[in-house]
Amino acid sequence: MRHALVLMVAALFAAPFVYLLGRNLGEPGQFIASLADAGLAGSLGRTLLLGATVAAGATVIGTAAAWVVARTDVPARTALAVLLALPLVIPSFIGAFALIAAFATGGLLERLLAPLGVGSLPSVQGFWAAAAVLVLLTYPFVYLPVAARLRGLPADLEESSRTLGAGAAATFGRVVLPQLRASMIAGALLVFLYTISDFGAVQLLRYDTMTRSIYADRLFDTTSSFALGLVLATVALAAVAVERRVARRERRDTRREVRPLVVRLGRCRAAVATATWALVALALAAPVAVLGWWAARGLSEGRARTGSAIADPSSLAGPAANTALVSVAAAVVAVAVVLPVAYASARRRERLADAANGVIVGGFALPGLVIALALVFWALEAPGPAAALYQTLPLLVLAYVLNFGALSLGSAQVAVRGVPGSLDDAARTLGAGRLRRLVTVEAPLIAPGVAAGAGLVLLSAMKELPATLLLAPPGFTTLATRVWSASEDSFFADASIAALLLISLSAVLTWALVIRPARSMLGSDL
Amino acid sequence: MSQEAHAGGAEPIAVTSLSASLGGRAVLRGVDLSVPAGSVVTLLGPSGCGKTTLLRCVAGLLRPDSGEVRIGDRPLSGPRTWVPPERRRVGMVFQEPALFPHMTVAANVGYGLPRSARRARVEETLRLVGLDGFGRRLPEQLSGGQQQRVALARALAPRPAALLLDEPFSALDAPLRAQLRREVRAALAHIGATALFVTHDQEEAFLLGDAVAVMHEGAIAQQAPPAELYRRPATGEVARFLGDPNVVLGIAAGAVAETPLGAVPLASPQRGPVDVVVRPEQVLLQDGGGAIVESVEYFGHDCVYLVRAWGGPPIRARELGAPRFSPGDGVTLHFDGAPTAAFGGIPDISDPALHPSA
Repeated sequence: MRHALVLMVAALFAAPFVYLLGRNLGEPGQFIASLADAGLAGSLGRTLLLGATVAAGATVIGTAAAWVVARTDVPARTALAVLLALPLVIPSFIGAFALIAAFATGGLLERLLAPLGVGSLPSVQGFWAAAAVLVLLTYPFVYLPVAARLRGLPADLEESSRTLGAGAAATFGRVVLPQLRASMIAGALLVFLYTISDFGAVQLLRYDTMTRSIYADRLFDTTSSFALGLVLATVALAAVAVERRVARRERRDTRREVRPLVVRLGRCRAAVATATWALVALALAAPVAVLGWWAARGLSEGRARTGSAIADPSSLAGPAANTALVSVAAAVVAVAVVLPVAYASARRRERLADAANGVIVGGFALPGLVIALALVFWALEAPGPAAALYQTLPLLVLAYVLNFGALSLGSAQVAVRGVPGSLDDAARTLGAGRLRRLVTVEAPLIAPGVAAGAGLVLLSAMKELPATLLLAPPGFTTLATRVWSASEDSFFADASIAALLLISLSAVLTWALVIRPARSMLGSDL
Repeated sequence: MSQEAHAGGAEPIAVTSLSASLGGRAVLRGVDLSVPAGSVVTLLGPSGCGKTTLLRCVAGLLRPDSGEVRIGDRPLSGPRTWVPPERRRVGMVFQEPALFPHMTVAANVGYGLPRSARRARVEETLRLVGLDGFGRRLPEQLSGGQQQRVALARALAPRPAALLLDEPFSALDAPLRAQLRREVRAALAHIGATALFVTHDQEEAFLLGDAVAVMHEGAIAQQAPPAELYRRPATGEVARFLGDPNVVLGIAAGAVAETPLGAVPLASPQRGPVDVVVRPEQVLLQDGGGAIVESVEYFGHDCVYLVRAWGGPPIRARELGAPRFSPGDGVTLHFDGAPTAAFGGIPDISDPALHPSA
């Protein structure tokens, strides 16, 4: 019974990839022809190039930022520690949109530069624009784990190195860096995964990666779309497999009270502070300022255009409610689905549960666009009642659950593992039966962790774009699709208002679920 | 269940031929152990010898492969019997306090009690462990020692038929451990509980136990009152495990063995080559001789010499007071003490006339 449940969950999460595999291998001739197509090689190459470039950039910036915050006497360290993590709240399509909006005709930069005699600005697009936006949005994936690792690294390691005659630079290179390597690589792989899965930024900035081709081909060249989807999914799964392996290898120093080591920056202090604040300004303040500027302009122009968010505030309330509805549904369903697996893997350490765990993490690796592609065509062509799911909310919620279930699984496992077995033993020897133990001991103790996992799913579903575009029922607009359609139509004011609303919601959730729990890692003084 | 919980009263524990394995590895190999009603037996052995496994089998947290566990006249575990832990009426105290972190101290202590009896009994039990007035605190607001006292109160509150303690003081520092030991001994004596207490610390085992059961490789090597155990260890393992003794080679001839320390009286007569157990306090040093003092460890109220007497490992000798010798001094070693244990010889049951040296 328990095994059957775990098996069913695993099958569910494996379904999109298996469907993709079946679609392609069912027509091997066409699949091979698609692979041989020069278009595939080109878009695969561009995808990998962008992924590698962004990963490298984010790793350098993220590691440097982590070191400054965790190890130096840079002023306002505490504020920086939090602000540096915040670009996480900006979805890629909003970041890209902010860049476009900044350079747009009549936009903020034009106004600012006009007094200097700069005329019209070039429109931003292509590889470097996409890479810049993605680096600025993804470096927190490296910054957070590296900062946590640095905080956990006992100062006496570095002090021993110094007393043994190594200078500051040699100490960093020979003692600190090797300790950080696993965190850096794991973070870089997450950035790589994020980049190759990204659709919003590359679509808006017109850089032809695989997601863009899949999206464009899906209607008239389905075969090629599926071939690309399978290749992209395989690359993504490989990246996650490597990330898991690297993350597991990292040894944690479990000593709790770590005395922080502070490097005095001396004369460089001002320069380091300037550089760090510049990063915050570029990655966080600039996009928000651009959006705010357009939003304010839209508000001051008032009801100029019918159907705009300004003329009709309900055009924003509807999408906000829809976003809340599908995200909450996804969070609840995800928790319900992964909880049995979390129990089986964290408590009983069953091999089957470990396999299910791997499959669910694989779902997180799959780009949302690929999951959506599989679900759309499965529902379109499915016989009988399944076809009725086409363009319905349950299918959209399912896509979110398959994509983000791993987030709630991780939290649930930590929560279940956090309840020591001796508590259950103690309750048993005190005469409590199974039900009483569950209700009085287990449930109250795991509830916060499970809720946090649900919150992570909620946060991700809220910001999700490509699967929402493909799967939302006609006329069902979320905040993300509202930002998207408005930005594609160059309604900058409308898009900015919706984007600011989405960022605010996501900031609140990110603060509560990601940054606050990590505070102890970032510094006890936060 | 509630009827029984009110009944209270200590009952004896009897374990017979108990075998159990963990992950396919045999951990208990035919354990026989009995704890008389109202007495404390400490289970002593090196880590990994199966002490905790035995305790968990008695509690019902682990299902043995074979053998029996009884408490009082109730068979709890046997060929056709299996009583789950929640119906065994045992109280258990774990290595870590294992308090429910989301419940107050009072709620923790009252967890095993029927609702009606809760309030009065909780207060009474907290008073017993010296924590009256702490009921409304949360476990995280208590020190480690206080937490372990609450764990003890929680286990005692339902008046269990038997109390099982699994190295409950191992996570505490030395002075606190000593204090809690005294308190627990007083509390157990006060309520007359039957208790099985697991420890790897000889001092703790001797101090708390009416009897000590020494466990070795999954079986009970010897169960006896502390003094008896120390004086007459039944096996070489028991002897080696207690009191950090010297083991010297000797030739037994009845009640005496000839050793490099001279003639040593034996507790049990035997013949042939034997390993003689000589405790450091039974070795007497005299000035001058062929044995060389290698090192001196001074502890304040006593000191220990390491003496290289012949080819074998150095002999440890303990003396009260400040050291009389320095490293490099030549000394002579003598045995001075009560008849001691020896192992490996052939048991000698013949009449005294057969061994002339007696």
